[in-house]
Amino acid sequence: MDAPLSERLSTFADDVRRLSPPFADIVDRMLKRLYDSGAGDGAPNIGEPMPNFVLPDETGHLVSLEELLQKGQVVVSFNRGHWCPYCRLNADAMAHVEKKVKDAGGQFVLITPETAKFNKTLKQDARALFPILTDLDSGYALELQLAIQINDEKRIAMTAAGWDISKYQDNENWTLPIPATFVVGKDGRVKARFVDPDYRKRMQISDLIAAVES
Amino acid sequence: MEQMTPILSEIAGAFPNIEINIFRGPPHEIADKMKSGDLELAVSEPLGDEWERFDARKLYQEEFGLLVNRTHPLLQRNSVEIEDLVNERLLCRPYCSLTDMLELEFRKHGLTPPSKHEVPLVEDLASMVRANLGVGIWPKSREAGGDLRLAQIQGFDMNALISLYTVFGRKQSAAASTFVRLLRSKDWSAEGQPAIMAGESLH
Repeated sequence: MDAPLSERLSTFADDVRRLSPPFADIVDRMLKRLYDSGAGDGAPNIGEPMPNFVLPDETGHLVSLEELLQKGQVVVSFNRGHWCPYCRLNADAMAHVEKKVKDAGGQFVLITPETAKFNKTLKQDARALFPILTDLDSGYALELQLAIQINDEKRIAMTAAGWDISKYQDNENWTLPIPATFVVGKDGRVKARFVDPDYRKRMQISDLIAAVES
Repeated sequence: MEQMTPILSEIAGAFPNIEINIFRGPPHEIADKMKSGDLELAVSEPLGDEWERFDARKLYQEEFGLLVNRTHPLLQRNSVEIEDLVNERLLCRPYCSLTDMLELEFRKHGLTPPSKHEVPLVEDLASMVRANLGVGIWPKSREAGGDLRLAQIQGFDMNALISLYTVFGRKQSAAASTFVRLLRSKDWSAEGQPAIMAGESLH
């Protein structure tokens, strides 16, 4: 539990490869496709303005980036959903440092394409206080060029694993965001970012804190 | 409407200059107004219109019962059959599809549907039940007061599927689009669930 996030993510990924090599192979093929196509390259870079969002949180209240920025820096974290073990580890790690980030003048906001019911689950499981917002139909992720289409091979593998995301997202689109984290300064510009189509990798918590404190 | 007010409140906060125009009416009129563009979206029971450009998304299922006075003889029975209602006066709200379904059920049993009073406001319906003016079709999710009870008709499920209707391919205003997102993302699992009425056990 006290291991760094990267170690916990890596341990889980190793277990998946060991227990289900065919699934791991499908992931490898998907990642090659995503890397080859430059998926995520168009997301806001350091120094660029972070586009505003107005999205509902898990209680049904609308939350905007502009409104959050009036209170301080914002760590915007894109996650795939409550079903994703890597996202759960990420949410858990963020919840553990929520106070530290707040003391440094920052605040977390998580974004998933899932409806409030499932975001509530993610929040409760992580014992988080931060809001988890619904980006319905991946509209904001599309704007940031972070939305990807799940191909048939991966969709079938996910469904077989019990992850029918259409039920969680209230659509049949089979799109997911590339997991990404942006540290947005009070001026609305990106101070630090982590974007990687490999959903098993997330921004190091130490890097995130360093960015907020800088 | 109670379910919509918190969402409208969010919309009013996000769009301070918005003017909201709410239409309440029978499904076919809602369908016509949606087709003509007079309404941007609808939250309704099934519209009963197969227009291919309607996009319907289920929100929740509202369950209903028969609201009766605590002293009503129907409550003395182990179960309420459709035949037991022949001599009752029905209190129903305008545009209520359940009323039509209930009348159809009477006819299926070879019975003449009972006469009815139409009551526009749900609050008035409870008052009229209290005054022994009839038995009312009442949403289970809404409390009616400790002096009233809900009865179920044996073999006749009283529920209504509430869906969000939009029109494929039609550009929505930013406010309507946000309203749709709020409706679709909302956790509806608690809606339509019975409110505990004083002195009543729910199964």
